[in-house]
Amino acid sequence: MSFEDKPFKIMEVCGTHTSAIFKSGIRDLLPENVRLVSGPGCPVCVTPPSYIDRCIRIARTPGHVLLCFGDMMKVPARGGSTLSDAKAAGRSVRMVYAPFDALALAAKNPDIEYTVAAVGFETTAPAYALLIEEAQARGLTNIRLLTALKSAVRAIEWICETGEDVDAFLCPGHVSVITGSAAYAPLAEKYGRPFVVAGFEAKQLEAAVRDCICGGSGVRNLYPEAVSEEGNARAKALLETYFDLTDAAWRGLGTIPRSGYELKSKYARWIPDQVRDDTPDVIPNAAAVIAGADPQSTAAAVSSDTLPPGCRCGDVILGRIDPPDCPLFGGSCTPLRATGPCMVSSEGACGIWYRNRSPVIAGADPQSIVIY
Amino acid sequence: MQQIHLLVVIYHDFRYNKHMCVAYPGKILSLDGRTAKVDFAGNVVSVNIGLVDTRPGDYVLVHAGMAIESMGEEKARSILNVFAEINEF
Ligand code: SF4
Ligand code: SF4
Repeated sequence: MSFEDKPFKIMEVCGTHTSAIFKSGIRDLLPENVRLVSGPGCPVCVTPPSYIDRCIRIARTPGHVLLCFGDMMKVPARGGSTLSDAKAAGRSVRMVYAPFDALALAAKNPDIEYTVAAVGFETTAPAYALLIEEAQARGLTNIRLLTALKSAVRAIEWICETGEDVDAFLCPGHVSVITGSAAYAPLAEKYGRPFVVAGFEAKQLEAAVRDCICGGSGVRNLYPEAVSEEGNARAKALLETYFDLTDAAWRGLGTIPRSGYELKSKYARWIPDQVRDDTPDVIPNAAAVIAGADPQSTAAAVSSDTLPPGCRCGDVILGRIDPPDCPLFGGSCTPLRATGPCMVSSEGACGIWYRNRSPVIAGADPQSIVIY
Repeated sequence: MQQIHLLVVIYHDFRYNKHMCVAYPGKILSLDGRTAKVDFAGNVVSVNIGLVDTRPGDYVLVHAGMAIESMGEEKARSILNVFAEINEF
């Protein structure tokens, strides 16, 4: 079969890549058989609804304040309400720009317990370890972390394990700053696919897409300005010191074994009391998928389990459908009142597609992508 | 003009954290233990520098209030140009 007939699917794991690719117009320049699909690359999108429930529960507790990133405010909880709704109803929810903002607040109001909604991938997780170190150094005891930290590299590995038909991966830029490009080497070896670390500029992305198609299996780092082969050693050491890799629930995907960073038991005092005895969420699919069950039917089972009726976020973040293929897209689901998280987050695939409904070709010359 | 627009966008992103996981380069002005004052095109922000070795004059890539990589001016400029490009539309 010649290249032209064979469908070729490239997963842009990172939400920022999805956004940059749209704006560059690359999507319109690709041959028809090449599809760019979004991956599970936005930490907000993959946070399960029950986590938002917990956040709301903490915000409701007297003497407690929940601190979160702005992106989290509009993500629906199980019943559909959001942190934004909770705030409007007078609950103590406060937006911060960095986890470290908790330090000054906690020092100023020692009687209030500040719980940070600790969401993120490898990129962000070290910040929470540094926050604990800093709080310890300053003798602050009124900070807690409600973690839903995840490993993007593990998610990529899981996608390979489950046999999803993804032919190449555009690896997340900022995750790779921490992990280093070497993190993908075992995957490239085992699964024989291209893993290309890409920057965010149109030219870099174009080169990376071309490399995915023509470069063959292996790891290539096309973002050397920021990404090294070995990554940030101190950050990796902090992750080891503070966190255990545990099974974690991904919205739309189910539970992925050893994909979550949870505080080690010796740091239990930083976990909010309200959740210490909570039973963890188990979304029953990943194991089944890995054991070789039909991924289509398991995905359907998971979607009904973890997503609002009709929402197809799971299929979107696995690249099985493009957002406009979801029947709710642009109808009952828009960024202002979203049904699913992929529409809410600025890095969510549905939101990016919605905001870029008529893709602009950003001065790109159609001849400039030569793939054959 | 476009430069000003970019600064506004970056500042807005920082203040309101539209993208929780984007990283921006800024210039280190001064150090105070594990915290540094970092200049993002005129907006000075406190940044944790526990993950990097750096000194005033260096540029750092900042994510969630923490420097994740330090770099020279040239690399930082090339990354900044990318954001100019992304935010143009
Ligand atoms: S964490 Fe970094 S790499 Fe991942 S989606 Fe966000 S910006 Fe992209
Ligand atoms: S358009 Fe809305 S409902 Fe459909 S998959 Fe995306 S977020 Fe879910």
